[in-house]
Amino acid sequence: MKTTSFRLDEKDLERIEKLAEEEGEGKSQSVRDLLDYGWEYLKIRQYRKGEISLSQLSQELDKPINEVINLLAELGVQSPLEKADVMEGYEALSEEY
Amino acid sequence: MIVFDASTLILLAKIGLLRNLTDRVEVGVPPQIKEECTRGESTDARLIDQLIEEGRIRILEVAKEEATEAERLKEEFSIGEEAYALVLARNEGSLFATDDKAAINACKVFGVEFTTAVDFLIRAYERGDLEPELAKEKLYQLEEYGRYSSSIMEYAEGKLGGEDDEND
Repeated sequence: MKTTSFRLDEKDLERIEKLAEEEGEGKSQSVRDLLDYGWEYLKIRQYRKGEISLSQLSQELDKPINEVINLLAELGVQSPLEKADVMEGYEALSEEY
Repeated sequence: MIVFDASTLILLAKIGLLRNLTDRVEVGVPPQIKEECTRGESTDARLIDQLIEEGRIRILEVAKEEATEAERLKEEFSIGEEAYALVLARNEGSLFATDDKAAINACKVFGVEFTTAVDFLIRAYERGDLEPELAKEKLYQLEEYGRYSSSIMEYAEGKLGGEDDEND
Protein backbone atom coordinates (compact mmCIF):
# COMPACT_ATOMS: atom_id res chain seq x y z
CA MET A 1 0.00 0.00 0.00
CA LYS A 2 1.11 3.54 -0.72
CA THR A 3 1.04 6.47 1.63
CA THR A 4 -0.45 9.80 0.59
CA SER A 5 -1.98 12.87 2.23
CA PHE A 6 -5.24 14.77 1.79
CA ARG A 7 -6.76 17.88 3.31
CA LEU A 8 -10.00 17.01 5.12
CA ASP A 9 -12.40 19.21 7.04
CA GLU A 10 -13.34 18.57 10.66
CA LYS A 11 -16.64 16.90 9.75
CA ASP A 12 -14.93 14.32 7.54
CA LEU A 13 -12.33 13.58 10.21
CA GLU A 14 -15.07 13.11 12.78
CA ARG A 15 -16.81 10.64 10.47
CA ILE A 16 -13.62 8.66 9.93
CA GLU A 17 -12.98 8.52 13.68
CA LYS A 18 -16.58 7.52 14.36
CA LEU A 19 -16.50 4.70 11.82
CA ALA A 20 -13.13 3.49 13.14
CA GLU A 21 -14.57 3.36 16.66
CA GLU A 22 -17.80 1.64 15.56
CA GLU A 23 -15.98 -0.98 13.54
CA GLY A 24 -13.05 -1.36 15.95
CA GLU A 25 -10.52 -0.69 13.21
CA GLY A 26 -7.80 1.84 12.40
CA LYS A 27 -8.56 5.17 10.74
CA SER A 28 -6.71 4.18 7.56
CA GLN A 29 -8.98 1.15 7.21
CA SER A 30 -12.04 3.35 7.78
CA VAL A 31 -10.93 5.69 5.00
CA ARG A 32 -10.46 2.73 2.65
CA ASP A 33 -13.90 1.37 3.57
CA LEU A 34 -15.54 4.75 2.94
CA LEU A 35 -13.80 5.05 -0.42
CA ASP A 36 -15.09 1.58 -1.38
CA TYR A 37 -18.65 2.42 -0.31
CA GLY A 38 -18.52 5.77 -2.08
CA TRP A 39 -17.17 4.26 -5.30
CA GLU A 40 -19.85 1.56 -5.24
CA TYR A 41 -22.59 4.13 -4.65
CA LEU A 42 -21.32 6.42 -7.42
CA LYS A 43 -21.13 3.62 -9.98
CA ILE A 44 -24.52 2.16 -9.05
CA ARG A 45 -26.06 5.62 -9.49
CA GLN A 46 -24.50 5.87 -12.95
CA TYR A 47 -25.91 2.45 -13.82
CA ARG A 48 -29.33 3.37 -12.44
CA LYS A 49 -29.41 6.41 -14.73
CA GLY A 50 -28.48 4.23 -17.70
CA GLU A 51 -25.12 5.99 -18.04
CA ILE A 52 -23.09 2.79 -17.80
CA SER A 53 -23.98 -0.80 -18.62
CA LEU A 54 -24.16 -3.79 -16.29
CA SER A 55 -20.92 -5.09 -17.78
CA GLN A 56 -19.19 -1.79 -17.04
CA LEU A 57 -20.62 -1.74 -13.53
CA SER A 58 -19.25 -5.24 -12.99
CA GLN A 59 -15.82 -4.12 -14.17
CA GLU A 60 -15.87 -0.93 -12.07
CA LEU A 61 -16.85 -2.85 -8.92
CA ASP A 62 -14.48 -5.71 -9.75
CA LYS A 63 -17.23 -8.27 -9.12
CA PRO A 64 -18.73 -10.94 -11.40
CA ILE A 65 -21.97 -9.81 -13.11
CA ASN A 66 -23.87 -12.46 -11.22
CA GLU A 67 -22.77 -10.94 -7.90
CA VAL A 68 -23.58 -7.45 -9.16
CA ILE A 69 -27.13 -8.55 -10.04
CA ASN A 70 -27.48 -9.96 -6.52
CA LEU A 71 -26.11 -6.74 -5.03
CA LEU A 72 -28.53 -4.56 -7.03
CA ALA A 73 -31.41 -6.80 -5.92
CA GLU A 74 -30.28 -6.61 -2.29
CA LEU A 75 -30.11 -2.81 -2.45
CA GLY A 76 -33.44 -2.60 -4.28
CA VAL A 77 -31.95 -0.63 -7.18
CA GLN A 78 -34.60 -0.43 -9.87
CA SER A 79 -33.62 -1.40 -13.39
CA PRO A 80 -33.48 1.48 -15.88
CA LEU A 81 -35.39 -0.73 -18.33
CA GLU A 82 -38.68 0.82 -19.49
CA LYS A 83 -42.03 -0.78 -20.24
CA ALA A 84 -41.72 0.30 -23.89
CA ASP A 85 -38.44 -1.65 -24.14
CA VAL A 86 -40.11 -4.80 -22.84
CA MET A 87 -43.08 -4.32 -25.19
CA GLU A 88 -40.78 -3.84 -28.17
CA GLY A 89 -38.79 -6.90 -27.08
CA TYR A 90 -41.97 -8.95 -26.91
CA GLU A 91 -42.93 -8.08 -30.48
CA ALA A 92 -39.48 -9.01 -31.77
CA LEU A 93 -39.30 -12.26 -29.81
CA SER A 94 -42.79 -13.36 -30.89
CA GLU A 95 -41.47 -13.75 -34.42
CA GLU A 96 -38.78 -16.21 -33.33
CA TYR A 97 -40.08 -18.00 -30.26
CA MET B 1 -30.15 -17.88 -33.52
CA ILE B 2 -30.54 -15.37 -30.70
CA VAL B 3 -27.37 -13.66 -29.49
CA PHE B 4 -27.33 -13.07 -25.72
CA ASP B 5 -25.46 -10.76 -23.42
CA ALA B 6 -24.69 -11.69 -19.80
CA SER B 7 -27.63 -9.88 -18.19
CA THR B 8 -30.43 -11.85 -19.88
CA LEU B 9 -28.53 -15.14 -19.78
CA ILE B 10 -27.94 -14.85 -16.03
CA LEU B 11 -31.51 -13.71 -15.28
CA LEU B 12 -32.95 -16.70 -17.17
CA ALA B 13 -30.51 -18.99 -15.35
CA LYS B 14 -31.60 -17.56 -12.00
CA ILE B 15 -35.28 -18.34 -12.62
CA GLY B 16 -34.57 -21.82 -13.99
CA LEU B 17 -35.73 -21.11 -17.54
CA LEU B 18 -32.43 -21.24 -19.41
CA ARG B 19 -32.04 -24.99 -19.92
CA ASN B 20 -35.64 -25.29 -21.11
CA LEU B 21 -35.09 -22.38 -23.50
CA THR B 22 -31.99 -23.93 -25.08
CA ASP B 23 -34.20 -26.87 -26.14
CA ARG B 24 -36.33 -24.48 -28.16
CA VAL B 25 -34.11 -21.74 -29.54
CA GLU B 26 -30.53 -21.56 -30.72
CA VAL B 27 -28.55 -19.53 -28.19
CA GLY B 28 -25.19 -17.97 -29.02
CA VAL B 29 -22.70 -15.78 -27.15
CA PRO B 30 -19.31 -14.32 -28.02
CA PRO B 31 -16.35 -15.52 -25.89
CA GLN B 32 -16.32 -12.19 -24.00
CA ILE B 33 -19.86 -12.84 -22.73
CA LYS B 34 -19.01 -16.43 -21.81
CA GLU B 35 -16.14 -15.07 -19.74
CA GLU B 36 -18.44 -12.66 -17.89
CA CYS B 37 -21.15 -15.25 -17.21
CA THR B 38 -18.90 -17.98 -15.92
CA ARG B 39 -16.82 -15.84 -13.54
CA GLY B 40 -17.21 -16.83 -9.89
CA GLU B 41 -18.51 -19.91 -8.16
CA SER B 42 -22.27 -19.34 -8.33
CA THR B 43 -24.79 -21.98 -9.41
CA ASP B 44 -25.81 -19.75 -12.33
CA ALA B 45 -22.23 -19.58 -13.56
CA ARG B 46 -21.91 -23.36 -13.30
CA LEU B 47 -25.21 -23.89 -15.15
CA ILE B 48 -24.12 -21.64 -18.02
CA ASP B 49 -20.76 -23.37 -18.15
CA GLN B 50 -22.51 -26.76 -18.28
CA LEU B 51 -24.85 -25.64 -21.08
CA ILE B 52 -21.85 -24.47 -23.07
CA GLU B 53 -20.14 -27.80 -22.49
CA GLU B 54 -23.26 -29.63 -23.67
CA GLY B 55 -23.28 -27.51 -26.82
CA ARG B 56 -26.65 -25.95 -25.92
CA ILE B 57 -25.08 -22.49 -25.87
CA ARG B 58 -22.83 -21.85 -28.86
CA ILE B 59 -19.71 -19.78 -28.57
CA LEU B 60 -19.60 -17.45 -31.57
CA GLU B 61 -16.35 -16.37 -33.10
CA VAL B 62 -15.61 -12.68 -33.25
CA ALA B 63 -13.63 -11.59 -36.32
CA LYS B 64 -10.87 -9.02 -35.93
CA GLU B 65 -12.91 -6.29 -37.62
CA GLU B 66 -15.87 -7.10 -35.38
CA ALA B 67 -13.68 -6.79 -32.29
CA THR B 68 -12.44 -3.41 -33.49
CA GLU B 69 -16.03 -2.30 -34.06
CA ALA B 70 -17.06 -3.56 -30.61
CA GLU B 71 -14.27 -1.60 -28.94
CA ARG B 72 -15.44 1.52 -30.78
CA LEU B 73 -19.04 0.98 -29.60
CA LYS B 74 -17.86 0.55 -26.03
CA GLU B 75 -16.52 4.08 -26.08
CA GLU B 76 -19.39 5.57 -28.01
CA PHE B 77 -22.27 4.10 -25.98
CA SER B 78 -20.74 3.58 -22.53
CA ILE B 79 -21.25 -0.15 -22.72
CA GLY B 80 -18.92 -3.01 -21.82
CA GLU B 81 -18.70 -6.52 -23.26
CA GLU B 82 -22.32 -6.21 -24.42
CA ALA B 83 -20.78 -4.46 -27.43
CA TYR B 84 -19.41 -7.78 -28.75
CA ALA B 85 -22.83 -9.45 -28.64
CA LEU B 86 -24.42 -6.40 -30.23
CA VAL B 87 -21.97 -6.35 -33.13
CA LEU B 88 -22.49 -10.09 -33.76
CA ALA B 89 -26.29 -9.74 -33.66
CA ARG B 90 -26.12 -6.80 -36.08
CA ASN B 91 -23.83 -8.58 -38.52
CA GLU B 92 -25.79 -11.87 -38.40
CA GLY B 93 -29.18 -10.13 -38.53
CA SER B 94 -30.04 -11.92 -35.27
CA LEU B 95 -32.21 -10.93 -32.37
CA PHE B 96 -30.20 -9.58 -29.42
CA ALA B 97 -31.26 -10.62 -25.92
CA THR B 98 -30.29 -7.99 -23.35
CA ASP B 99 -31.69 -6.52 -20.14
CA ASP B 100 -29.25 -3.65 -20.22
CA LYS B 101 -30.64 -0.17 -20.88
CA ALA B 102 -27.39 1.23 -22.28
CA ALA B 103 -27.12 -1.71 -24.71
CA ILE B 104 -30.79 -1.29 -25.71
CA ASN B 105 -30.14 2.37 -26.47
CA ALA B 106 -27.31 1.32 -28.79
CA CYS B 107 -29.64 -1.26 -30.44
CA LYS B 108 -32.12 1.51 -31.21
CA VAL B 109 -29.44 3.58 -32.93
CA PHE B 110 -28.39 0.66 -35.17
CA GLY B 111 -31.86 -0.77 -35.72
CA VAL B 112 -30.93 -4.06 -34.06
CA GLU B 113 -33.97 -5.96 -32.76
CA PHE B 114 -33.72 -6.79 -29.07
CA THR B 115 -35.64 -8.71 -26.44
CA THR B 116 -35.49 -9.11 -22.66
CA ALA B 117 -35.72 -11.85 -20.00
CA VAL B 118 -39.31 -11.02 -19.10
CA ASP B 119 -40.28 -11.41 -22.78
CA PHE B 120 -38.87 -14.96 -22.79
CA LEU B 121 -40.93 -15.76 -19.72
CA ILE B 122 -44.13 -14.38 -21.29
CA ARG B 123 -43.55 -16.30 -24.52
CA ALA B 124 -42.76 -19.53 -22.63
CA TYR B 125 -46.12 -19.15 -20.91
CA GLU B 126 -47.98 -18.32 -24.14
CA ARG B 127 -46.46 -21.30 -25.95
CA GLY B 128 -47.56 -23.59 -23.13
CA ASP B 129 -44.01 -24.39 -22.03
CA LEU B 130 -44.91 -23.15 -18.53
CA GLU B 131 -48.04 -23.69 -16.46
CA PRO B 132 -49.78 -20.43 -15.43
CA GLU B 133 -48.98 -20.75 -11.72
CA LEU B 134 -45.35 -21.60 -12.38
CA ALA B 135 -45.04 -18.75 -14.88
CA LYS B 136 -46.30 -16.29 -12.25
CA GLU B 137 -43.95 -17.69 -9.65
CA LYS B 138 -41.03 -17.27 -12.05
CA LEU B 139 -42.16 -13.72 -12.82
CA TYR B 140 -41.89 -12.82 -9.13
CA GLN B 141 -38.45 -14.42 -9.00
CA LEU B 142 -37.49 -12.40 -12.05
CA GLU B 143 -38.85 -9.23 -10.44
CA GLU B 144 -36.45 -9.74 -7.55
CA TYR B 145 -33.35 -10.07 -9.73
CA GLY B 146 -34.49 -8.00 -12.72
CA ARG B 147 -35.70 -5.18 -10.43
CA TYR B 148 -38.40 -4.11 -12.86
CA SER B 149 -40.59 -1.04 -12.51
CA SER B 150 -44.22 -1.47 -11.47
CA SER B 151 -45.38 -0.67 -15.00
CA ILE B 152 -43.28 -3.52 -16.43
CA MET B 153 -44.63 -5.88 -13.77
CA GLU B 154 -48.24 -4.86 -14.52
CA TYR B 155 -47.63 -5.45 -18.21
CA ALA B 156 -46.10 -8.88 -17.59
CA GLU B 157 -48.84 -9.89 -15.14
CA GLY B 158 -51.41 -8.89 -17.73
CA LYS B 159 -49.70 -11.09 -20.32
CA LEU B 160 -49.64 -13.99 -17.86
CA GLY B 161 -53.39 -13.78 -17.48
CA GLY B 162 -53.33 -11.73 -14.29
CA GLU B 163 -54.60 -8.21 -13.91
CA ASP B 164 -55.19 -6.82 -17.39
CA ASP B 165 -53.03 -3.99 -18.54
CA GLU B 166 -55.39 -1.41 -19.97
CA ASN B 167 -52.65 0.02 -22.17
CA ASP B 168 -52.22 -3.25 -24.09
